[in-house]
Amino acid sequence: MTADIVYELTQRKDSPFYAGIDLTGEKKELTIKQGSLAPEVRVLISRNLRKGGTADYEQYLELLIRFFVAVRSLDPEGWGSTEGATFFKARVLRALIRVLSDMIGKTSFDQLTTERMRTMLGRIDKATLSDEAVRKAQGSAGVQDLYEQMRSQVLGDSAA
Amino acid sequence: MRLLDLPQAQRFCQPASSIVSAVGMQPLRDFHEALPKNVMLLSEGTNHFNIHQVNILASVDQWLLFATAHYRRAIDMLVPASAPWTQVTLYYASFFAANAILGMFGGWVGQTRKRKQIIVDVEHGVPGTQQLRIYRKLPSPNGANGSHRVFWDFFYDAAASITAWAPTPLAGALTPVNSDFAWAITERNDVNYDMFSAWEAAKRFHGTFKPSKLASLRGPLQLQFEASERLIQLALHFATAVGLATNALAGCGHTGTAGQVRRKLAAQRPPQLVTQSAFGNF
Repeated sequence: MTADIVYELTQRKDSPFYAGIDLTGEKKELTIKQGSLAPEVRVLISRNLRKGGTADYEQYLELLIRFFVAVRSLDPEGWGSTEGATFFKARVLRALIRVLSDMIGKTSFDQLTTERMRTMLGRIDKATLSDEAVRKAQGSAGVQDLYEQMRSQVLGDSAA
Repeated sequence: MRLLDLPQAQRFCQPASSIVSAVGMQPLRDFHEALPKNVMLLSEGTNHFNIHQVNILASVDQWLLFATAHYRRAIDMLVPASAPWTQVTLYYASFFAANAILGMFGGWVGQTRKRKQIIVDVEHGVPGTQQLRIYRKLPSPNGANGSHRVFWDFFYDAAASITAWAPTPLAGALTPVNSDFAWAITERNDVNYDMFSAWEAAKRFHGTFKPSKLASLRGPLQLQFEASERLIQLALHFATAVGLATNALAGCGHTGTAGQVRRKLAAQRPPQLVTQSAFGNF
Protein backbone atom coordinates (compact mmCIF):
# COMPACT_ATOMS: atom_id res chain seq x y z
CA MET A 1 0.00 0.00 0.00
CA THR A 2 2.85 2.38 0.85
CA ALA A 3 4.44 2.32 -2.58
CA ASP A 4 1.03 2.89 -4.16
CA ILE A 5 0.39 5.88 -1.92
CA VAL A 6 3.73 7.49 -2.69
CA TYR A 7 3.15 6.80 -6.38
CA GLU A 8 -0.31 8.40 -6.21
CA LEU A 9 1.18 11.44 -4.46
CA THR A 10 3.14 12.07 -7.63
CA GLN A 11 0.25 11.35 -9.97
CA ARG A 12 -2.70 13.22 -8.52
CA LYS A 13 -3.10 16.83 -9.55
CA ASP A 14 -4.41 17.75 -6.12
CA SER A 15 -1.19 16.54 -4.49
CA PRO A 16 1.57 19.04 -3.63
CA PHE A 17 4.00 16.37 -4.84
CA TYR A 18 2.40 16.14 -8.29
CA ALA A 19 5.31 15.11 -10.54
CA GLY A 20 7.59 16.12 -7.69
CA ILE A 21 8.97 12.90 -6.19
CA ASP A 22 11.77 10.89 -7.73
CA LEU A 23 10.31 7.38 -7.88
CA THR A 24 13.21 5.71 -9.64
CA GLY A 25 16.31 7.40 -8.26
CA GLU A 26 17.18 8.63 -11.73
CA LYS A 27 15.71 12.13 -11.65
CA LYS A 28 18.49 14.11 -10.08
CA GLU A 29 16.57 17.39 -10.37
CA LEU A 30 13.95 16.10 -7.90
CA THR A 31 15.33 16.41 -4.38
CA ILE A 32 12.61 14.37 -2.69
CA LYS A 33 13.11 10.66 -3.27
CA GLN A 34 10.56 7.89 -2.93
CA GLY A 35 13.04 6.12 -0.68
CA SER A 36 12.93 8.95 1.88
CA LEU A 37 9.18 9.21 2.25
CA ALA A 38 7.96 5.64 1.74
CA PRO A 39 9.43 4.16 4.97
CA GLU A 40 7.86 6.92 7.05
CA VAL A 41 4.49 6.42 5.38
CA ARG A 42 4.80 2.69 6.03
CA VAL A 43 5.48 3.28 9.72
CA LEU A 44 2.58 5.73 9.95
CA ILE A 45 0.15 3.20 8.49
CA SER A 46 1.38 0.21 10.50
CA ARG A 47 1.38 2.24 13.70
CA ASN A 48 -2.16 3.39 13.08
CA LEU A 49 -3.28 -0.15 12.26
CA ARG A 50 -1.73 -1.44 15.51
CA LYS A 51 -3.81 1.10 17.38
CA GLY A 52 -6.99 -0.24 15.77
CA GLY A 53 -7.18 2.26 12.92
CA THR A 54 -9.61 1.28 10.17
CA ALA A 55 -8.76 3.85 7.52
CA ASP A 56 -8.49 2.57 3.97
CA TYR A 57 -6.02 3.37 1.21
CA GLU A 58 -7.99 6.33 -0.10
CA GLN A 59 -8.32 7.88 3.37
CA TYR A 60 -4.57 7.64 4.02
CA LEU A 61 -3.85 9.15 0.62
CA GLU A 62 -6.28 12.03 1.10
CA LEU A 63 -5.01 12.69 4.61
CA LEU A 64 -1.44 12.92 3.32
CA ILE A 65 -2.52 15.26 0.53
CA ARG A 66 -4.35 17.51 3.00
CA PHE A 67 -1.38 17.40 5.35
CA PHE A 68 1.16 18.39 2.73
CA VAL A 69 -1.13 21.07 1.28
CA ALA A 70 -1.20 22.53 4.80
CA VAL A 71 2.59 22.29 5.04
CA ARG A 72 3.04 23.90 1.61
CA SER A 73 0.74 26.78 2.55
CA LEU A 74 3.10 27.71 5.39
CA ASP A 75 5.97 28.26 2.97
CA PRO A 76 4.53 28.42 -0.55
CA GLU A 77 7.58 30.12 -2.03
CA GLY A 78 9.90 27.46 -0.67
CA TRP A 79 7.82 24.48 -1.76
CA GLY A 80 9.57 22.64 -4.57
CA SER A 81 12.65 24.78 -4.18
CA THR A 82 16.10 23.42 -3.49
CA GLU A 83 17.25 26.58 -1.74
CA GLY A 84 15.77 28.48 1.17
CA ALA A 85 12.86 26.12 1.69
CA THR A 86 11.64 25.65 5.24
CA PHE A 87 9.79 22.36 4.91
CA PHE A 88 10.70 21.05 1.47
CA LYS A 89 13.68 19.02 2.67
CA ALA A 90 13.72 15.25 2.89
CA ARG A 91 14.67 15.15 6.59
CA VAL A 92 12.03 17.70 7.56
CA LEU A 93 9.34 15.94 5.53
CA ARG A 94 10.27 12.61 7.14
CA ALA A 95 10.05 14.17 10.59
CA LEU A 96 6.74 15.81 9.69
CA ILE A 97 5.22 12.47 8.71
CA ARG A 98 6.11 11.21 12.19
CA VAL A 99 4.34 14.26 13.65
CA LEU A 100 1.32 13.43 11.48
CA SER A 101 1.39 9.91 12.88
CA ASP A 102 1.03 11.39 16.36
CA MET A 103 -1.70 13.74 15.19
CA ILE A 104 -3.85 10.84 13.96
CA GLY A 105 -3.30 9.16 17.29
CA LYS A 106 -5.10 12.07 18.93
CA THR A 107 -7.61 13.20 16.31
CA SER A 108 -9.79 11.36 13.83
CA PHE A 109 -9.03 11.55 10.12
CA ASP A 110 -12.24 13.48 9.43
CA GLN A 111 -11.34 16.16 11.92
CA LEU A 112 -7.88 16.64 10.47
CA THR A 113 -8.93 19.17 7.85
CA THR A 114 -6.33 21.11 5.92
CA GLU A 115 -7.16 24.28 7.83
CA ARG A 116 -6.91 22.60 11.20
CA MET A 117 -3.60 20.95 10.38
CA ARG A 118 -2.31 24.26 9.06
CA THR A 119 -3.16 25.92 12.36
CA MET A 120 -1.38 23.17 14.27
CA LEU A 121 1.67 23.18 12.00
CA GLY A 122 1.79 26.96 12.16
CA ARG A 123 3.15 26.54 15.69
CA ILE A 124 6.42 25.24 14.31
CA ASP A 125 9.24 27.71 14.79
CA LYS A 126 10.64 28.01 11.28
CA ALA A 127 13.97 29.18 12.66
CA THR A 128 14.55 25.67 14.01
CA LEU A 129 14.34 24.36 10.43
CA SER A 130 17.00 26.60 8.93
CA ASP A 131 19.35 25.02 6.40
CA GLU A 132 22.09 24.99 9.00
CA ALA A 133 19.94 23.36 11.69
CA VAL A 134 18.74 20.70 9.28
CA ARG A 135 22.26 20.04 8.01
CA LYS A 136 23.25 19.24 11.56
CA ALA A 137 20.41 16.76 11.86
CA GLN A 138 22.28 13.91 10.20
CA GLY A 139 20.89 10.40 9.78
CA SER A 140 18.02 8.74 11.63
CA ALA A 141 18.98 10.35 14.91
CA GLY A 142 18.82 13.75 13.26
CA VAL A 143 15.35 13.09 11.86
CA GLN A 144 14.29 11.90 15.30
CA ASP A 145 15.55 15.15 16.82
CA LEU A 146 13.65 17.21 14.27
CA TYR A 147 10.55 15.13 14.92
CA GLU A 148 10.71 15.54 18.69
CA GLN A 149 11.26 19.24 18.35
CA MET A 150 8.33 19.75 15.99
CA ARG A 151 6.11 17.38 17.89
CA SER A 152 6.50 19.39 21.07
CA GLN A 153 5.72 22.59 19.17
CA VAL A 154 2.71 21.18 17.32
CA LEU A 155 1.18 18.96 19.99
CA GLY A 156 2.58 20.58 23.08
CA ASP A 157 3.97 17.38 24.56
CA SER A 158 6.99 15.16 24.18
CA ALA A 159 7.35 11.95 22.19
CA ALA A 160 6.28 8.66 23.75
CA MET B 1 -4.32 27.34 -14.53
CA ARG B 2 -2.92 28.11 -11.10
CA LEU B 3 -5.01 29.25 -8.14
CA LEU B 4 -4.32 30.71 -4.73
CA ASP B 5 -4.37 28.46 -1.71
CA LEU B 6 -6.89 29.21 1.02
CA PRO B 7 -4.78 31.55 3.19
CA GLN B 8 -3.74 33.44 0.07
CA ALA B 9 -7.38 33.63 -1.07
CA GLN B 10 -8.31 35.10 2.31
CA ARG B 11 -5.98 37.97 1.55
CA PHE B 12 -7.30 38.34 -2.00
CA CYS B 13 -10.94 38.34 -0.89
CA GLN B 14 -10.50 40.98 1.79
CA PRO B 15 -9.21 44.12 0.09
CA ALA B 16 -8.83 47.20 2.29
CA SER B 17 -11.93 49.40 2.42
CA SER B 18 -9.86 52.28 1.03
CA ILE B 19 -9.22 50.20 -2.10
CA VAL B 20 -12.85 49.18 -2.45
CA SER B 21 -14.12 52.72 -2.11
CA ALA B 22 -11.60 54.04 -4.63
CA VAL B 23 -12.55 51.57 -7.36
CA GLY B 24 -15.53 52.13 -9.62
CA MET B 25 -17.68 49.14 -10.47
CA GLN B 26 -17.59 48.09 -14.12
CA PRO B 27 -17.95 44.97 -16.23
CA LEU B 28 -14.79 42.91 -15.96
CA ARG B 29 -14.88 42.21 -19.68
CA ASP B 30 -14.79 45.94 -20.45
CA PHE B 31 -11.91 46.52 -18.08
CA HIS B 32 -9.90 43.74 -19.68
CA GLU B 33 -10.79 44.80 -23.20
CA ALA B 34 -9.49 48.29 -22.45
CA LEU B 35 -6.24 47.10 -20.89
CA PRO B 36 -3.19 47.70 -23.07
CA LYS B 37 -2.14 44.43 -24.64
CA ASN B 38 1.32 44.72 -23.12
CA VAL B 39 -0.18 44.42 -19.63
CA MET B 40 0.25 40.74 -18.81
CA LEU B 41 0.58 40.92 -15.04
CA LEU B 42 -1.66 42.49 -12.42
CA SER B 43 0.43 43.21 -9.31
CA GLU B 44 -0.97 43.76 -5.84
CA GLY B 45 -0.91 47.43 -4.92
CA THR B 46 -1.38 48.69 -8.48
CA ASN B 47 -4.49 50.30 -9.87
CA HIS B 48 -5.04 47.55 -12.45
CA PHE B 49 -4.88 44.86 -9.78
CA ASN B 50 -7.29 46.77 -7.55
CA ILE B 51 -9.85 47.22 -10.32
CA HIS B 52 -9.74 43.57 -11.27
CA GLN B 53 -9.84 42.42 -7.65
CA VAL B 54 -12.76 44.58 -6.50
CA ASN B 55 -14.83 43.87 -9.59
CA ILE B 56 -14.27 40.13 -9.63
CA LEU B 57 -15.12 39.90 -5.93
CA ALA B 58 -18.37 41.74 -6.65
CA SER B 59 -19.00 39.24 -9.43
CA VAL B 60 -18.32 36.40 -7.01
CA ASP B 61 -21.08 37.59 -4.69
CA GLN B 62 -23.39 38.01 -7.68
CA TRP B 63 -22.51 34.55 -9.02
CA LEU B 64 -23.30 33.14 -5.60
CA LEU B 65 -26.67 34.89 -5.62
CA PHE B 66 -27.61 33.69 -9.09
CA ALA B 67 -26.38 30.16 -8.37
CA THR B 68 -28.52 30.00 -5.25
CA ALA B 69 -31.53 31.65 -6.89
CA HIS B 70 -31.40 29.35 -9.93
CA TYR B 71 -31.22 26.32 -7.67
CA ARG B 72 -34.20 27.62 -5.71
CA ARG B 73 -36.19 28.35 -8.86
CA ALA B 74 -35.42 24.92 -10.31
CA ILE B 75 -37.29 23.37 -7.42
CA ASP B 76 -40.38 25.29 -8.54
CA MET B 77 -40.18 23.76 -12.01
CA LEU B 78 -40.53 20.09 -11.18
CA VAL B 79 -43.22 19.14 -13.69
CA PRO B 80 -42.70 17.02 -16.82
CA ALA B 81 -42.97 19.83 -19.36
CA SER B 82 -40.34 21.84 -17.51
CA ALA B 83 -37.97 18.99 -16.73
CA PRO B 84 -35.52 19.88 -19.54
CA TRP B 85 -35.45 23.53 -18.52
CA THR B 86 -35.05 22.54 -14.87
CA GLN B 87 -31.86 20.82 -15.93
CA VAL B 88 -30.71 23.88 -17.87
CA THR B 89 -31.45 26.07 -14.85
CA LEU B 90 -29.52 23.73 -12.57
CA TYR B 91 -26.69 23.69 -15.07
CA TYR B 92 -26.40 27.46 -14.81
CA ALA B 93 -26.59 27.26 -11.03
CA SER B 94 -23.50 25.06 -11.10
CA PHE B 95 -21.82 27.22 -13.75
CA PHE B 96 -22.23 30.32 -11.59
CA ALA B 97 -21.06 28.50 -8.46
CA ALA B 98 -17.96 27.28 -10.31
CA ASN B 99 -17.25 30.81 -11.54
CA ALA B 100 -17.56 32.04 -7.95
CA ILE B 101 -15.08 29.44 -6.71
CA LEU B 102 -12.54 30.30 -9.38
CA GLY B 103 -12.95 34.01 -8.65
CA MET B 104 -12.34 33.62 -4.92
CA PHE B 105 -9.12 31.77 -5.62
CA GLY B 106 -7.81 34.27 -8.16
CA GLY B 107 -8.96 32.67 -11.41
CA TRP B 108 -11.18 33.94 -14.18
CA VAL B 109 -12.24 32.43 -17.49
CA GLY B 110 -13.83 35.26 -19.42
CA GLN B 111 -14.46 36.79 -22.79
CA THR B 112 -14.48 40.30 -24.17
CA ARG B 113 -17.58 41.63 -25.90
CA LYS B 114 -15.86 40.66 -29.13
CA ARG B 115 -15.78 37.10 -27.78
CA LYS B 116 -12.04 37.08 -27.38
CA GLN B 117 -10.81 34.79 -24.64
CA ILE B 118 -9.30 36.14 -21.43
CA ILE B 119 -7.87 33.80 -18.82
CA VAL B 120 -6.58 35.09 -15.51
CA ASP B 121 -4.64 32.88 -13.13
CA VAL B 122 -2.16 33.20 -10.32
CA GLU B 123 1.45 34.07 -11.01
CA HIS B 124 2.40 34.72 -7.40
CA GLY B 125 0.21 34.05 -4.38
CA VAL B 126 2.10 35.31 -1.37
CA PRO B 127 0.08 38.03 0.41
CA GLY B 128 1.51 41.48 -0.15
CA THR B 129 3.07 40.57 -3.48
CA GLN B 130 0.22 38.76 -5.18
CA GLN B 131 0.29 38.78 -8.95
CA LEU B 132 -2.25 37.59 -11.48
CA ARG B 133 -1.29 36.70 -15.03
CA ILE B 134 -3.50 37.54 -18.00
CA TYR B 135 -3.61 35.19 -20.97
CA ARG B 136 -5.32 36.40 -24.11
CA LYS B 137 -4.90 33.11 -25.92
CA LEU B 138 -4.48 29.91 -23.97
CA PRO B 139 -5.60 26.44 -25.00
CA SER B 140 -7.57 24.63 -22.31
CA PRO B 141 -5.85 21.58 -20.77
CA ASN B 142 -7.73 19.15 -23.00
CA GLY B 143 -7.98 21.46 -25.99
CA ALA B 144 -11.73 22.01 -25.61
CA ASN B 145 -13.83 24.06 -28.05
CA GLY B 146 -16.80 26.25 -27.16
CA SER B 147 -16.82 28.76 -24.32
CA HIS B 148 -18.54 26.53 -21.75
CA ARG B 149 -16.47 23.46 -22.54
CA VAL B 150 -13.36 25.57 -22.26
CA PHE B 151 -14.59 26.93 -18.94
CA TRP B 152 -15.21 23.50 -17.42
CA ASP B 153 -11.92 22.18 -18.75
CA PHE B 154 -10.03 24.98 -17.01
CA PHE B 155 -12.20 24.77 -13.91
CA TYR B 156 -11.74 21.10 -13.14
CA ASP B 157 -8.05 21.21 -13.99
CA ALA B 158 -7.48 24.16 -11.66
CA ALA B 159 -9.84 22.95 -8.94
CA ALA B 160 -7.58 20.00 -8.19
CA SER B 161 -5.17 22.36 -6.45
CA ILE B 162 -7.81 23.55 -3.96
CA THR B 163 -9.52 20.21 -3.32
CA ALA B 164 -7.61 19.71 -0.08
CA TRP B 165 -9.18 22.90 1.31
CA ALA B 166 -12.70 21.58 0.72
CA PRO B 167 -14.56 19.76 3.49
CA THR B 168 -14.34 16.04 2.71
CA PRO B 169 -18.10 15.61 2.06
CA LEU B 170 -18.02 18.39 -0.54
CA ALA B 171 -14.65 17.67 -2.16
CA GLY B 172 -16.38 15.58 -4.83
CA ALA B 173 -17.91 18.79 -6.20
CA LEU B 174 -14.51 19.56 -7.67
CA THR B 175 -14.44 16.50 -9.90
CA PRO B 176 -16.79 16.16 -12.87
CA VAL B 177 -19.63 13.69 -13.21
CA ASN B 178 -18.36 10.50 -14.90
CA SER B 179 -14.85 12.01 -14.80
CA ASP B 180 -15.83 13.92 -17.94
CA PHE B 181 -15.15 17.65 -17.67
CA ALA B 182 -17.75 18.30 -20.38
CA TRP B 183 -20.50 16.08 -18.92
CA ALA B 184 -22.74 18.91 -17.69
CA ILE B 185 -22.56 21.04 -20.84
CA THR B 186 -23.08 18.00 -23.07
CA GLU B 187 -26.20 17.00 -21.14
CA ARG B 188 -27.44 20.59 -21.06
CA ASN B 189 -27.10 20.88 -24.81
CA ASP B 190 -28.89 17.57 -25.29
CA VAL B 191 -32.04 18.61 -23.45
CA ASN B 192 -31.89 22.19 -24.66
CA TYR B 193 -31.28 21.79 -28.37
CA ASP B 194 -32.42 18.27 -29.24
CA MET B 195 -36.17 17.73 -28.93
CA PHE B 196 -35.88 13.95 -28.89
CA SER B 197 -33.67 14.20 -25.78
CA ALA B 198 -35.87 16.90 -24.25
CA TRP B 199 -38.97 14.75 -24.66
CA GLU B 200 -37.17 11.70 -23.30
CA ALA B 201 -36.28 13.77 -20.22
CA ALA B 202 -39.93 14.86 -19.81
CA LYS B 203 -41.14 11.23 -20.11
CA ARG B 204 -38.52 9.95 -17.67
CA PHE B 205 -39.54 12.61 -15.22
CA HIS B 206 -43.23 11.71 -15.59
CA GLY B 207 -42.49 8.04 -15.09
CA THR B 208 -40.22 8.25 -12.08
CA PHE B 209 -40.66 11.47 -10.12
CA LYS B 210 -42.80 11.40 -7.00
CA PRO B 211 -43.90 14.94 -6.10
CA SER B 212 -43.58 14.16 -2.40
CA LYS B 213 -39.96 13.01 -2.71
CA LEU B 214 -37.24 15.21 -4.18
CA ALA B 215 -34.83 12.27 -4.10
CA SER B 216 -36.96 10.44 -6.67
CA LEU B 217 -35.39 12.47 -9.49
CA ARG B 218 -33.67 10.17 -11.96
CA GLY B 219 -31.25 10.29 -14.87
CA PRO B 220 -29.14 13.28 -15.91
CA LEU B 221 -31.53 15.66 -14.14
CA GLN B 222 -30.81 13.93 -10.82
CA LEU B 223 -27.06 13.97 -11.45
CA GLN B 224 -27.14 17.64 -12.40
CA PHE B 225 -29.26 18.42 -9.34
CA GLU B 226 -26.76 16.73 -7.02
CA ALA B 227 -23.76 18.26 -8.79
CA SER B 228 -25.26 21.76 -8.58
CA GLU B 229 -26.22 21.34 -4.95
CA ARG B 230 -22.73 20.25 -3.92
CA LEU B 231 -21.01 22.93 -5.96
CA ILE B 232 -23.20 25.67 -4.45
CA GLN B 233 -22.63 24.33 -0.94
CA LEU B 234 -18.90 24.31 -1.56
CA ALA B 235 -18.89 27.81 -3.06
CA LEU B 236 -20.78 29.13 -0.04
CA HIS B 237 -18.41 27.29 2.30
CA PHE B 238 -15.42 28.85 0.58
CA ALA B 239 -17.05 32.30 0.63
CA THR B 240 -17.25 32.04 4.41
CA ALA B 241 -13.77 30.54 4.72
CA VAL B 242 -12.13 33.34 2.73
CA GLY B 243 -14.12 36.06 4.50
CA LEU B 244 -15.77 37.39 1.34
CA ALA B 245 -17.60 40.62 2.15
CA THR B 246 -18.77 42.92 -0.62
CA ASN B 247 -21.73 45.24 -1.06
CA ALA B 248 -22.31 43.95 -4.56
CA LEU B 249 -25.90 42.90 -3.84
CA ALA B 250 -27.13 46.37 -2.94
CA GLY B 251 -29.90 47.83 -5.07
CA CYS B 252 -32.56 45.11 -5.04
CA GLY B 253 -34.46 46.25 -2.00
CA HIS B 254 -32.73 44.32 0.77
CA THR B 255 -30.07 45.32 3.25
CA GLY B 256 -27.63 43.41 5.41
CA THR B 257 -24.62 41.29 4.66
CA ALA B 258 -24.28 39.80 1.18
CA GLY B 259 -25.26 36.43 2.69
CA GLN B 260 -28.41 37.86 4.23
CA VAL B 261 -29.38 39.68 1.05
CA ARG B 262 -28.67 36.57 -1.00
CA ARG B 263 -30.96 34.45 1.12
CA LYS B 264 -33.76 37.03 0.96
CA LEU B 265 -33.49 37.48 -2.80
CA ALA B 266 -33.21 33.78 -3.58
CA ALA B 267 -36.18 32.90 -1.39
CA GLN B 268 -38.41 35.66 -2.74
CA ARG B 269 -41.69 34.31 -4.08
CA PRO B 270 -42.59 35.39 -7.62
CA PRO B 271 -45.90 37.19 -8.20
CA GLN B 272 -48.76 35.04 -9.56
CA LEU B 273 -49.52 36.92 -12.76
CA VAL B 274 -50.49 34.18 -15.16
CA THR B 275 -54.06 35.49 -15.41
CA GLN B 276 -52.66 38.80 -16.64
CA SER B 277 -50.68 37.05 -19.36
CA ALA B 278 -51.76 35.63 -22.70
CA PHE B 279 -51.23 32.09 -21.47
CA GLY B 280 -54.98 31.35 -21.33
CA ASN B 281 -55.18 31.81 -25.12
CA PHE B 282 -52.39 29.34 -25.93
